[in-house]
Amino acid sequence: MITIENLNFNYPKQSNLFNDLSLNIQAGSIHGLLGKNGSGKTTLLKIIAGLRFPNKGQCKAFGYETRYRSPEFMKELYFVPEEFYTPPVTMKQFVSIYSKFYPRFSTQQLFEYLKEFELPEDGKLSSFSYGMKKKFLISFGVATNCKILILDEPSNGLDIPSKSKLRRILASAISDDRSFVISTHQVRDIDQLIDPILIIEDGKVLFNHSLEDISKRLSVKAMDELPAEGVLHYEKTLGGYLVIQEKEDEESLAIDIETLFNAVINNKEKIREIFSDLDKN
Amino acid sequence: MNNYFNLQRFLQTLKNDIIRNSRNYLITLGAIAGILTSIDLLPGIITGKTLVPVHGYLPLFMLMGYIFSSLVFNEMHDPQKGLVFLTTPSSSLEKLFSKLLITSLLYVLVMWLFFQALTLFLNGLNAIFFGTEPTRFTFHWGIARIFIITQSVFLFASGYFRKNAFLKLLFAGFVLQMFFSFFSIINFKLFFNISDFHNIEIDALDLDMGRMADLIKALVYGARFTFLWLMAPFFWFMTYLRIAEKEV
Repeated sequence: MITIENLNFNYPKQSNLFNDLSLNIQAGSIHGLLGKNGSGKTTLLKIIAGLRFPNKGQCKAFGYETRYRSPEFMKELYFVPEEFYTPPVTMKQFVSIYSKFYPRFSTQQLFEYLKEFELPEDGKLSSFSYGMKKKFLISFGVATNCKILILDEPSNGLDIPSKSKLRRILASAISDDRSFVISTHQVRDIDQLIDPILIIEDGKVLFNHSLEDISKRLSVKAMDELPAEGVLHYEKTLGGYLVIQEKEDEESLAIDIETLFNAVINNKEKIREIFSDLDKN
Repeated sequence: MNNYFNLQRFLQTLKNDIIRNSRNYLITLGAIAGILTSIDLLPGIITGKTLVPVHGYLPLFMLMGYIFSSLVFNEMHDPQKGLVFLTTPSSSLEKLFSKLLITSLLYVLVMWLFFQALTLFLNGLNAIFFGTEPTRFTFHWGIARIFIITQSVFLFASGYFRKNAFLKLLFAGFVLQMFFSFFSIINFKLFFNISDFHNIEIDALDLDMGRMADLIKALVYGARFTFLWLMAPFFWFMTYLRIAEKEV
């Protein structure tokens, strides 16, 4: 669906943010884009949306080079940024203005999502709180039924009940011909939703694997004592340690994304080695 | 579907622009109406006689039009508004045409209707309170043509400058004019070998006045043709490139 090949990018007067970055984003999944601060997550999302242009290489989505912002491509993409703007109009006016650009937009779906988020069906957007505006934009974005939905830090500013509602809405809306890309630091908010997990570091894709592949190669165990060797990452818990190791037997707890992220960032070479057969494919 | 221009998409973009700009449009028209009504009524209250200030319409029409054109692409330069503007599924050409239409033809039409309505209203007020004869207002369509050509520069400035496009354009125009004046003087001095501009003796220059007249005619024709037919399309094209190449 989205193909990025040998992408180089830098902001003016800055060193390269991406060096020969290549990436394939398939339909039918909710991709979790993770990385440290300044690793270029938002920039990568903007390149996918045609808002930033690569210095070298290219980014294509269903055959269209994204930098040309062709309407045929843009009608299949909706971007909800972390910091957003809502025009000084009512919800109904917003829907009337923008929905016509998206051929599969469903008003019925929109109302369902608004109901789920406990938002009114109409009202002045300017009178809404940040969280309410964000819930409205996410609802609108999902209701466009476009092929690519980009969400940058979608759970920021959402109250606790809304975070689980967000997970429910996204999980129910994903289909074989759609792809959601979610960039976030709040990985616990989207735990059990994102698959595959994509980590970028030092201008390259450091890790891009499905939960199935991860669970086949890594194990998480609760242990009283730290093993002498083979520990990729550990976290101290109340009763002992939570340890990530290369998988040797079937015994494993569910993988927590935050722990996995730390394991990948701190053991780049070892992780690359463990997943090397998949990377070659 | 055409990726460059599609009528349905264009009309939707235009509707979008009109809805989002209508509030500012109405506030500005209200303010102009208020100012012109005050200018009309004040002399009447003081002296008992007044006339509709139709002579003020034209400068207001030009000035407001240029300021409006200078602001029309502001949203594109703001990171958050720019994201909405650039990701809206219409082509750069449709986005340009929509902004061009609301700042040129639609603006002229709205202002024409507005001035007609205001003249009618003020004539009514003047007749009731001061018993004055109605003033006639004639809109010079030639001026509208000049406006549409010249506003293309302000439209381009709006796409080019991030902030204060109107003032920056005036400043840039001033600097350019200074540069060309200086350049022309230097050329003139070198070409005719004149050292003192205050005491030029035309006869001493040994000019072929017949050929000079032809040259001046050709220059005037060229300048006129450039102004009427080339200037606006050039700036529209430059604005199009700016939209297509804009990153946020």
